[in-house]
Amino acid sequence: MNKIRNTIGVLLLCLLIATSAGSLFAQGQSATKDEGPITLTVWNFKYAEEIAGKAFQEMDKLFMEQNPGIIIDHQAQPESNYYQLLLSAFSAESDLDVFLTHTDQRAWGIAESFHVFDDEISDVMGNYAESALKACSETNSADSDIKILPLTAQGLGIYYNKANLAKAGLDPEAVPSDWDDFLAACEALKQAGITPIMFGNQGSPFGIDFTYRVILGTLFSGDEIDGFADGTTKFTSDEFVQATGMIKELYDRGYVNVTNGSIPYFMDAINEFKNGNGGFFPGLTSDIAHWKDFGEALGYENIGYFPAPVADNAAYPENQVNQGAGIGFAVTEYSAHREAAVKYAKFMTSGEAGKIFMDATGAIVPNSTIEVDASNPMLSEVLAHMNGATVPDILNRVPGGMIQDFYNFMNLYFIADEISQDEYIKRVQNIYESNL
Amino acid sequence: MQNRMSKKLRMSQDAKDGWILLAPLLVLTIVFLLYPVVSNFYYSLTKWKGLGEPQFIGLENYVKMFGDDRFYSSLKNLFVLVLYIPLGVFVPLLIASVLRGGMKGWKIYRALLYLPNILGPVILGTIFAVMLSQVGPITELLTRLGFEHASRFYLLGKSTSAINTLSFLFVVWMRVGFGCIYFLAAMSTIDASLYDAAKIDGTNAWQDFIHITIPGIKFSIQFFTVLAFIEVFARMYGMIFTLTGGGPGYATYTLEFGVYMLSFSAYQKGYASAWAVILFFFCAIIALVQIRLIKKEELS
Repeated sequence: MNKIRNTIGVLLLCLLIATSAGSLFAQGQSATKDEGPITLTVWNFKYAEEIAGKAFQEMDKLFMEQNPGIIIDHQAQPESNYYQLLLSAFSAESDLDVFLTHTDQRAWGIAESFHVFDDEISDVMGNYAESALKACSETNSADSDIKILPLTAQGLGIYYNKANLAKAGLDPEAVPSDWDDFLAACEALKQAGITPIMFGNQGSPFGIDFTYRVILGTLFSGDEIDGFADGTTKFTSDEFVQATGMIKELYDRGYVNVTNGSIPYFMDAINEFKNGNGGFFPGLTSDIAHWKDFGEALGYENIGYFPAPVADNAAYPENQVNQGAGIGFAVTEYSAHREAAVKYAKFMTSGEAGKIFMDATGAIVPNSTIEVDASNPMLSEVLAHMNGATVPDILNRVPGGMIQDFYNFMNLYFIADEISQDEYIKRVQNIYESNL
Repeated sequence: MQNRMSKKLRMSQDAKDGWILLAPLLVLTIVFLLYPVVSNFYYSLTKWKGLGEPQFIGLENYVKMFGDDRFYSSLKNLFVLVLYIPLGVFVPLLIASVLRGGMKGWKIYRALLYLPNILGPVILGTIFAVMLSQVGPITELLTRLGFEHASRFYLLGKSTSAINTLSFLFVVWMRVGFGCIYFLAAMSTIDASLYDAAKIDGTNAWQDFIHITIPGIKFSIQFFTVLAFIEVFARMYGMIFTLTGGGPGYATYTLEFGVYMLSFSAYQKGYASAWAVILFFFCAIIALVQIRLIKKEELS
């Protein structure tokens, strides 16, 4: 018995020594960290993408060359669970310094852990586009509460394949001016054996979602869109009902690809359109599924763009949905290397680094230190809309927590076709209210 | 008197040794089980997103939960899933019984049947999302066989077919392999002379199955059923997330999936904790049944 007792005693002692040694070693490590070069941990949901990933690597290399005391540990994270991972990292105050983020409610929902840049960017604030800074401010202000530094100016619109429109006997240079025009173009495409609208709705129904957002941009004013942040504007409003009816009409008339519920928007639906299938495609203005993506695949002269199918009696038919900023870099509030982290975020969103990103991905970087090559007619057209009459994106305003359920009900109504429009609207409003 | 008391209070050396041996497990149980459960009860009474200080709001989360569509849809879906459990128990039982008879190449079948258990729910969910999609191999095959509108047939796209597909895949198909191995092991404990005696009496295979095999492994069947309940209530998240995302609508939402979505997607950790409390009670009932069964078996 004594022998067993002694063995247990020795084992417990060993455990105690091992724990203490581990803790001392960890302290030693952090001491070494303080003395040596700083390692910044960066999370990025686009880092695994081929083109964007390479651009980020090049940008990092440049930063490290210019800042020999800082090492960048850039880590790819999955986009599908990105904000869940961020929330966990913030809760644990894990070793994370800088992270790429969207500027929508998914980010603002956990923005307590974002560092406020106001003081550090006072010298360069004028370089960033005002609309981008507003999108990056927690209080929608262009000069305060800036918690994200914008990397892209993001908007949504409709791209079309001019060759396919011509095959259907349509004038490829004439943009459908109203809803009837748009439906007529879809019908002509359908009759010509071309899928009128290419959607990808598997997983997240971005095809429906993007179309909603651009149509709602022509029906609501900026203030009304802002009202989705606090419950002032409702999903039971006539405008939302009208937009719902319009998308439903596209389904009922068979203008949407039959397999839309089974192919994901990223990248299958995008690739379908790039392969020359489909007449119209709801896309983005930066990053991916945009002017460069489609232009390089189909030829710039063969791609057309317009901000939205215009709803009947639309109050704002010219409106272009402009998020101000799509994605940007933020710094954790608790970062042990805040100064270096802020320096990195500033570097990545301006000057040489921003130019590398823009050239590689075709993103519009909203920073005046980066010259935009407006010689490309496709880019010029997109930029003209982005700089013209713009309206905020509804998705940047609605509570982040409602998005997954909202998507599930889009599937149920548009794709499964199992509930009435009234029921759908009622359920979406319920989801919205329970997440406010 | 005092002496007797102190004698009573004084721990024997054996008891002390017992506590020393128990201590590491006890600490782990307190830190990783007891504390989370107790703190979950507390958080269910707060408004908290996982960051900052929780704000005490009393029973508000419970009031909200009992008026929430998602909650009732989750209960309804769990009911459908539970209905599949008898099939999920019977199918592996039957297969195990056939394999026990010594089918040619049974070792290969056993390995194949066990494969889903090795892959796990996340991989299986992803595979089946592709397999059952409108552009998946099944649709392609049907189209090539001449079914023109095969792509319109989408099992995961409609509410009723989605929950039934999920139920079949998770409760029946995925558990067949483990069930077979488990029941085969249990069947090996049945005295072979019982089958010999039955043979002399002229019974057929079905009668052997009903009157010898099932009573012979009654406890194993009960235990496997309890395990199935646990899996349905608390281990389905991975497959739901990858296969249907809880949709369409709330067609494949469950309590466990809701806890995750509310907690990490909607940043409503307090509200999610209220859901977790309800889930805890369901799991507690299952655990009690399990303990009771084990005790009963020990007594018998």
